[in-house]
Amino acid sequence: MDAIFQNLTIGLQTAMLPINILWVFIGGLLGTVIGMLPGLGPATGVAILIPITYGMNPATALITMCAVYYGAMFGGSRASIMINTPGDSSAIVSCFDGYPMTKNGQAGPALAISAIASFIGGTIGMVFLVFLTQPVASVALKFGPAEMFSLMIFALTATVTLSEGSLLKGFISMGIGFMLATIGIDGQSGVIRYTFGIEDLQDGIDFLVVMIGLYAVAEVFKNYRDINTEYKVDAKTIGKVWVSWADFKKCLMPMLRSSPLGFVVGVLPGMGGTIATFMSYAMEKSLSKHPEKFGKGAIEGLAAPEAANNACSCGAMVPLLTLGIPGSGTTAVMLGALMMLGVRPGPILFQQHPEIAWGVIASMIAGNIILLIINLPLAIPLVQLLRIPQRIMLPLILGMGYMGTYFLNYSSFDFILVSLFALGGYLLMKLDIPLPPLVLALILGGMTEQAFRNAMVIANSNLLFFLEKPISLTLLVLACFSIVYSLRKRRKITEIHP
Amino acid sequence: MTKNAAAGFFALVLGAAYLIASFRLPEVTAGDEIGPKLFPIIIGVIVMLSGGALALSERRSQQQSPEAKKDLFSFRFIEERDTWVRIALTMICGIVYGLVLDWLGYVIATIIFMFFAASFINVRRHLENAIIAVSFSIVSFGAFAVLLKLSLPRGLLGFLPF
Repeated sequence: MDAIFQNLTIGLQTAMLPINILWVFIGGLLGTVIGMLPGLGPATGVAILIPITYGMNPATALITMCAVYYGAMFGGSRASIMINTPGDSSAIVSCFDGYPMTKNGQAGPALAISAIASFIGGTIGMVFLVFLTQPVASVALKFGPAEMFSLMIFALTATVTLSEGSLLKGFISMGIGFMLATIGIDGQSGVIRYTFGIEDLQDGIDFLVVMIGLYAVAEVFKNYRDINTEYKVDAKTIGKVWVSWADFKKCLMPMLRSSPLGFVVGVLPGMGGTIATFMSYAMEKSLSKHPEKFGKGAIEGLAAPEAANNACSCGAMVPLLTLGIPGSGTTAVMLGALMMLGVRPGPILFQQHPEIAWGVIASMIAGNIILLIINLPLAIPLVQLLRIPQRIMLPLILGMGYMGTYFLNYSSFDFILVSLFALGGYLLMKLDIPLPPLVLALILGGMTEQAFRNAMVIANSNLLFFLEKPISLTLLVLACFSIVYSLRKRRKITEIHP
Repeated sequence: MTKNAAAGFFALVLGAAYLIASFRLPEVTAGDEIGPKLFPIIIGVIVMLSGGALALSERRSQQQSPEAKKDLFSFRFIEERDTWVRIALTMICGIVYGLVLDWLGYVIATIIFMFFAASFINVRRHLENAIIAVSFSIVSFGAFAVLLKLSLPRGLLGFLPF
């Protein structure tokens, strides 16, 4: 207990520096704006805002990226509530009751409760995060190559089995990610692999180039089909952005129940905000005395998933910070950005740079308060941004994407790669191949192969080595279990809907 | 071909090509005994197996319910021609932007790139697009090169003091 407070004190010293508070504000505001724009989610937000962290020290950069991340979580529901268009899949549930509330003339209370629920979810998630990081990090310190390999296999399988779409397509996506990860000089043997004689590929493909291609430029391509969409947002009908005491009381228990649920879902690899929000909505509907009101503008049907979503984003920070393993596309992009700045999240970060690791955690406390302030009084001016038509917004996103690419390596070859990955990402989306397994395999690919080979050196090439270590065995059993579970679940679905 | 079958065949071909390339890698066991080949071979096999299974399961379900055959997959190159043309033009524009950036300098190259990129989306509103292009270029240059002090190529505008 004392150790936690000691760590938090170290963290607060970093987090409360004026420069860091300023960046939490800027990052949170930009994240809110991008999260709010229809069709653009947190992953896109983080991907195109990476350039703003250049030249920052690692702690400030990490704090800013996190602020963008949960800012996007706050903002994500704005578009759902006002125009029934979710920014990303974790904001779909917010449409269910958020948009009916707007149609019933309750846009103000809807915007207010979603900000308040996000704040409560984020704060509860924070408390769990503070208590969970140290134990997880100290266990992870004892991991050898075998455990690391099995952990990454578990994280990858979980992402495959839990991503939307077919299991086989998930494995295909993961395989493509691994293939891309093996391009370049092999660190252990010096062999040049799969570069087709192109010198620019010898150092491998920059992870962030792929991310900008997939999450920024390909998203723009996806929106090319409906560029003439314009959304009508009438600020006069929003009214006061505030909730009555009666409404707040109605939402209090749902928010308090959904936050721990969201947090747990967030910690598990592969389970992102989408699953957390759907689970909390289903839970509240089944617990409610008036389930028939859900979908028609029930305020607790908006509050619960919002709280779950933000608690989930705190939960997702646990594996990212303590193990260095991201559990979703967005956290993978954050990991890529950090690695570029020379910060390698993981248990060693907590030992060697507690001021960075705990500084980030402490900054989230400040961030949550700042975002509540941004999203309550500034709600009405911010939703005006939804009126910017797609045909103006898309070129700007495109410009940010290409500009960010240039900053990565100052190489014109990256422009070719970004364009190709954008096209590739668009084609994969057309084939319904999910992108998160690809992204995770790409960022973990090098480490997975290295852990595999290091373990094989220790074990004299005996594959059973992975099963002899208890932690490694447990993780592999969990990985198999998630595949079996997903197959059974899918069979059940096809039995019901043949 | 349905969407799943298309994805399955795509994975089969990709996995096969990758596997062939993997087998042709040199055998080096200097660093470790496993060498640089085994891991990629496993990946290639996983992708081929998944693709094959996907294509096969699709055939089986089609035999069971022939009406599913109507659900054919295509990339809709003809129906959505506008989208594909826009994508192609954007890609070309992006690649050319990268090639001329160092020579023209950030500000000019970005204005040109943004003007064209915006014109593909915001058709025939030239003034609007010019405003987007110029303001994006100057604001981003000011933010990154002047405020954050990142080095950006000055190119033809190298004589300017900031």
